[in-house]
Amino acid sequence: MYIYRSTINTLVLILLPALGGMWTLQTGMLNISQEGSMLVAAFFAVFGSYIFSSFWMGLFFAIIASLVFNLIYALFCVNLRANIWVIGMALNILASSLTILLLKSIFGVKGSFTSDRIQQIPFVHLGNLGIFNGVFNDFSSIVWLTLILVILFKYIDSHTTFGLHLKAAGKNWRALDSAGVSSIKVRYMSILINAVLVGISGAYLSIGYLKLFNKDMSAGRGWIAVAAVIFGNGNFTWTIIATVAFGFMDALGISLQTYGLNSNLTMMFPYLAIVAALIYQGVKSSKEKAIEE
Amino acid sequence: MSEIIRFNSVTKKFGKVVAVNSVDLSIKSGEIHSVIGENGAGKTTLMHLLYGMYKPDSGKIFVRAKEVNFSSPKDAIKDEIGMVHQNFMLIDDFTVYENVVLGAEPHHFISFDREKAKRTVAKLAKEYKMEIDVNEIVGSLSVGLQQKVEILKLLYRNASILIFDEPTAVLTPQESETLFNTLRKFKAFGKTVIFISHKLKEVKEISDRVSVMRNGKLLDTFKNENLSEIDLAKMIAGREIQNPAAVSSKKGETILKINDLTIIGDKGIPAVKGLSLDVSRGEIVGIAGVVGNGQSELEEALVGMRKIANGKIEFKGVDIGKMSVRKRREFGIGYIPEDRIRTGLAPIASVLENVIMGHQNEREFSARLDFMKRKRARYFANQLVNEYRIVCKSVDEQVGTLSGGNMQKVVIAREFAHDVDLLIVSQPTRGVDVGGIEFIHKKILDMKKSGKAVLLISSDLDEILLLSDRIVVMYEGQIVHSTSTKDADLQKIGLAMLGMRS
Repeated sequence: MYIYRSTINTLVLILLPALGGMWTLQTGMLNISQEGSMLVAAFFAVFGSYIFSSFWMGLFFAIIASLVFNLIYALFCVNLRANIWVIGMALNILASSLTILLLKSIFGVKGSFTSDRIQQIPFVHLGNLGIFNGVFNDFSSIVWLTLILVILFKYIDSHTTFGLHLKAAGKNWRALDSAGVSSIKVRYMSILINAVLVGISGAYLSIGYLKLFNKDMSAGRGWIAVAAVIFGNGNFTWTIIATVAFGFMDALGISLQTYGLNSNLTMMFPYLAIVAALIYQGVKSSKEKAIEE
Repeated sequence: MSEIIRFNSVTKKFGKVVAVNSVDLSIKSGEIHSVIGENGAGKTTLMHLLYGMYKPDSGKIFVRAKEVNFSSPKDAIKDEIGMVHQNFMLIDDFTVYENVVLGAEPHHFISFDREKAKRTVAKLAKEYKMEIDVNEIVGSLSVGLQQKVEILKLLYRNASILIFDEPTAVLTPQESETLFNTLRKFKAFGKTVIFISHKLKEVKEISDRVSVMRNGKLLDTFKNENLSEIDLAKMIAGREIQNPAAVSSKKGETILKINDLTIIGDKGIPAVKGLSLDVSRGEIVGIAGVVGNGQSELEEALVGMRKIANGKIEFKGVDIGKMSVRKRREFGIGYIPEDRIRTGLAPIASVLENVIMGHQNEREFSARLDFMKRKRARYFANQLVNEYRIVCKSVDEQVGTLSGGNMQKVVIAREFAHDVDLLIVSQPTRGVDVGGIEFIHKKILDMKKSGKAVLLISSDLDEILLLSDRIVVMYEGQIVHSTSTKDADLQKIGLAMLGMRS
């Protein structure tokens, strides 16, 4: 049960950026600045929640910060056609340093900030469910929001024209443009939707279970989401499967620490899973390529 | 007939290049109007202006007597204008119906109504007698069918003005004929067709009126019946064009013997199956066929870029099946590859570097310690630029910035300038303008006259007929038809290209 709950809790962190990233990938824009966006959002969630003593303001600030951050990405990568890796890496490094700087200059602390004025995102208590108490009760409301979003995304992905346009933008944007749908607009839409999701995910990270911001507290979760997106290759089901698998390994790693396993070892767990998955995918796609060509 | 489109001194510049130079053009409702001219004459740009892909720098465009100012194809589509592009604007992984309705999908509340989309597209195809399965994945269709998908896209959007940009460049004669029938059907339904081409025969066959463009200017518009092909050709090139009627020359000894050759393609299945062919000195053998029937694999195998699975390639009596590319070149094989940008040239290198490439080890250009003889190379490059009339600022200009025709001339100059016995020439004039085509054809014939063997691979049947002494047709990796040009029967060749034996 402990592993189940901690898997769900970690999973949300990864699932939100993975969903958004899946769509940007479908439009042909792999967004690797997820780690940075998440971190910036986490900081501003604490900031907003602290200043106004309201988790709503925390969420609001997190989303705005993530939007600004992703707009920089969009401006460079969509409009100016810069290399996504260069811009993505730059943004990730910027996020790490920027949050440390802001932490120092706004709150005057190094490394970590917490306060009782920070309001947490509320939990959902469904009343007494008997044996299902552990299964459903007392998760963060973000967990339920994520569940709704997953269903919504699945629906939009395969049953709406927006889903069709996303894929068209990635496969042949000229064809989409010539059909009268602006591929740039579609890409922007996907990046902004992703920004909102990553913003929520960042807020969840800092004011979901905690009331604190720690430097580099995203701790690779953004990267795990990127890996899941790459593995899913724009396919909804595979993206979700990869996310769940990686999220589980992440939670497992953290859980095993409590059983006394060396934390340096367990921290490797999700990444080993990712390496294995990406190797599998690489071998598979190189075989497919050989057949196609 | 009333006027439906009018261009009023429309000009479009790209940097310093004037692509369209104060063009006045009037198109009548319900006619098939051809715009003809060399590559780079500005035909496509002119149409892109009408279709909203570019904005004119000056001048006005009127559609149905109303001035329009399209900022994207979307606006043009609203005015019932549709365009079939040279390169299809299709999404290979999508189905036929998805491609057709993309951007104007039927909805059921917020969902994409796939069933309605399928029904509508199927009905439309039936109406215009196009046989196509709407559930097929577009990438798996033949080029001819893909073009139909493009046309269906326009019809689905109720286009009444249809622009076709070089639609027959990729089609077999039979497919072209089907297309022309479709165009005539459009006319019968009262639609206006604008047909862009540089193929005189087609323009003569299909058009009501013809406008000729040269160097971005529109020279004049003529009624089709008042024109002959020769008049047109003269106007397009701005000078007389001589057809290099196949020069007869003495056929010499057999120099290339291909015996029972099998080549495995990229898909892991044989692309060439048990092919045998001889080529002699002083003859041009033309390989006709629809692209993708093993021609590319064959040429690559002959020059050593692809392994052969079975069979024998004998050149000058020596089995060269296992020789490296470099050895084969040194042994006397010249190669003009089908894809000049990827295989034929290094686009970011200069003209000079490109013409030396492959010959850099020869004594002529290589000094002691493998230093390059710069001066000698420069002299050589300048000589070729003059001889082949390559238009470039200097030999130091990047090849990739030249026009398609001039890039091709660089490849041809390099390969022809060196002493070879066999030339493998693939798609030598694809994307080259009329003047350039004539020049390249003349050079190929010169090679033959001087006793070289030439293996010509082209998807342009007219080119094959014009140059070859012998024609073979490849279909699915085999030679399915073989004839001397003298006795060639166009009908039979066309059918063989489609895999139908007569």
